[in-house]
Amino acid sequence: MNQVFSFHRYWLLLKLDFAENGKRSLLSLAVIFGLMLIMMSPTIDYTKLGFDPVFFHALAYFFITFCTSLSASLVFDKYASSTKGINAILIPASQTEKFLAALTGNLVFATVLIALFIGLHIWFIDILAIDNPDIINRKFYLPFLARLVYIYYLVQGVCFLGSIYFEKATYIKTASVLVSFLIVFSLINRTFVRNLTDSDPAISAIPFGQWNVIGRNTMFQIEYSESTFLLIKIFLVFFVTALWYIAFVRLKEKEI
Amino acid sequence: MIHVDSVSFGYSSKKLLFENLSIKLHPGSIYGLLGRNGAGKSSLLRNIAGLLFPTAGKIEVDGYEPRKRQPSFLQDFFLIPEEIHLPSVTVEKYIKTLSPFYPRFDEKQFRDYLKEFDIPEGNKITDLSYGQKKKVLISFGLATNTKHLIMDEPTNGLDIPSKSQFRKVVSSALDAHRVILISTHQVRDLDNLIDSIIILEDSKILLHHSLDEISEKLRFATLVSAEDDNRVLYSEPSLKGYTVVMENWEQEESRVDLERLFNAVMSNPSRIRKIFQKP
Repeated sequence: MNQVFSFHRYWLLLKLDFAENGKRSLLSLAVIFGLMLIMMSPTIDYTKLGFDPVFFHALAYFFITFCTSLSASLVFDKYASSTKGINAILIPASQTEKFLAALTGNLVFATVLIALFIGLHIWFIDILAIDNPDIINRKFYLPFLARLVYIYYLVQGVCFLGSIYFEKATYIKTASVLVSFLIVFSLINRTFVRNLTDSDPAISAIPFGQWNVIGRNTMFQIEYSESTFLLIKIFLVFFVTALWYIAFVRLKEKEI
Repeated sequence: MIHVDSVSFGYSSKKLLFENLSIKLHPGSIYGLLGRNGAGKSSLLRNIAGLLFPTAGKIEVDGYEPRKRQPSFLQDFFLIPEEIHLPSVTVEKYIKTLSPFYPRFDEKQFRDYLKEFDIPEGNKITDLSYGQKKKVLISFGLATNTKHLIMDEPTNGLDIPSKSQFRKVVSSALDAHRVILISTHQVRDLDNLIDSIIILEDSKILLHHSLDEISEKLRFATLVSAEDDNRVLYSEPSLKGYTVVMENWEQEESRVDLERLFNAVMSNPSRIRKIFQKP
C-alpha cells in the first residue's frame, strides 16, 4: 500500500469533504455569484447615479477576493478544535492526501469564482460598449487581468496558510499579518527606489509594478522588461507554492 | 501490539506529565487505564494515537510510529475520544462516507450493535441525544474491526442500561488479534470487562498487571478489624466491619474490586511495587 498518495483515498477524502461541506459551499457559491451578477449587471445604469460601471466590476473583484479568502481561512478550522481535529487527523489517509483534498476544495471554489468574474467582466463590458463605446478603454485587458489573478491567488495562499497557522481569530490575524507585511514591503520598496534616484519626489513605484515618473505635467510609466517581468511572475508563483508547502508542513506537525 | 518505550511527555518543557513511561499492550486483552484527574491518561492515549508527540522515547503500534500518521497504521486504529464530534448527516450517509476508509468494516456488525444499543436508524445524527451519538460512534468503532481500539471515557453520557449493553458489546468484540484500551474514571463500568489494569499517577505507571496476577498477590475481603494486620494495604469502613485490600499470603481467591484496588495503589504505591516485584 502506498503510504504517501493513493488516488482512491484522495477521492474518498474529496467525497467526504463534499458530504460535510458541499451544500454549504454550493450555497455560498450561488450567493456570491448572485451578488456579483447584481454588481456587474449591464442592466443597471450606474452612470445615472454618477458611478462608472467599471468601478462596480472592480468592487466585485474585491468582493470575491474577500469571500474566497474568508473561505480559505476556514479550510483547516477543524484542526483548531479538539473534537473535530481528532476525527480529521485519524481518518485513514496520508497527510499528503488530506492536504491535497483541502487544497483542491479551496482552489475549485476560488477558481470557479474568478473564472466567472473574468467571464462576466468581458461579456458585460462588451454589452455596455454598445451604448457607451468609451467604456472599452477601461476594460481590464489581459496583462491587467493576469495581475488581478496573481493577487487573487496570492491572497488565497496567505489565508490558506493562516487557516492552519492560527487556531483562533484566524482571518483577523492572517489579514493583520498580510497588511503589515504589505506596508513593510512597500516601505522597503520605496526606500530602495528613493536610494536609487536620490529621493527624487517625481518618482514613485509599487512593489513588482511599474515605476511612475512625473515630468512635463505628465505621468510616465516605466515597465520592467519582459524577462524581468517573467522572473517576477515566476517568483510570485513560487511564493504561492511555498505558502502551500509551509501549510503542508504545519499540518504534519499539528498536535491535538 | 502497542509498545510505549521510555516515553516522556509534557505540554510545557518545564513540567512533564509523564516521564520514562514504558508499557506493552498485547492483542487479545482489554486493558483498563485508571488514574486521577490530570494524571495524563488522555494525553497518553493521544500519544499512542499520534495526536500528540512524545518529547522523549518511542511509541510503536504493530511496527508503525503513530506520529507519522501513515494510512496503514490509521486503518487499523480507532479512537473513541471523550468529547465526540459527528457530522450533521444521517447514519446511512455516515457509514457511506467513512466506512470505505476501513477495509475491515462490517456493516452488518454495525447494524447489530445499533440494534443492541436501541438506536433508531434513518435519523440524522445531530437529532440524536449525546448518549445516542456516543453509542453510534462506539458501534462504528467496533464494526471497523481495527486491531487497536482505544476508548477515552466511553461510558460518559451512557445511561445505566446502556453501560451493561456496552460491556456486553465490547467483550464480544474482543478477539485474539485485537487490543482494546479503555480509559475511565468510572471503574464500576469496567467490572467484568477488563482483564488487565494500568494505573497512572505522578508521571509513572504504578501498576500494570492482569487481574489474574492481581488476585494472586492481593486479596479483597471484609474484616471485622483492620488494625494490627500487617497484610492490609488499604481499608474502608463498611457495614460488616472493614472492606480491605490485603496481601494474599494464603493464596485465597477473591474477586478484584477495581475501586478498592485503585485506592490501595494510590495510598500505598511503594508497597504495591514491592509486592508485585516479588517472584
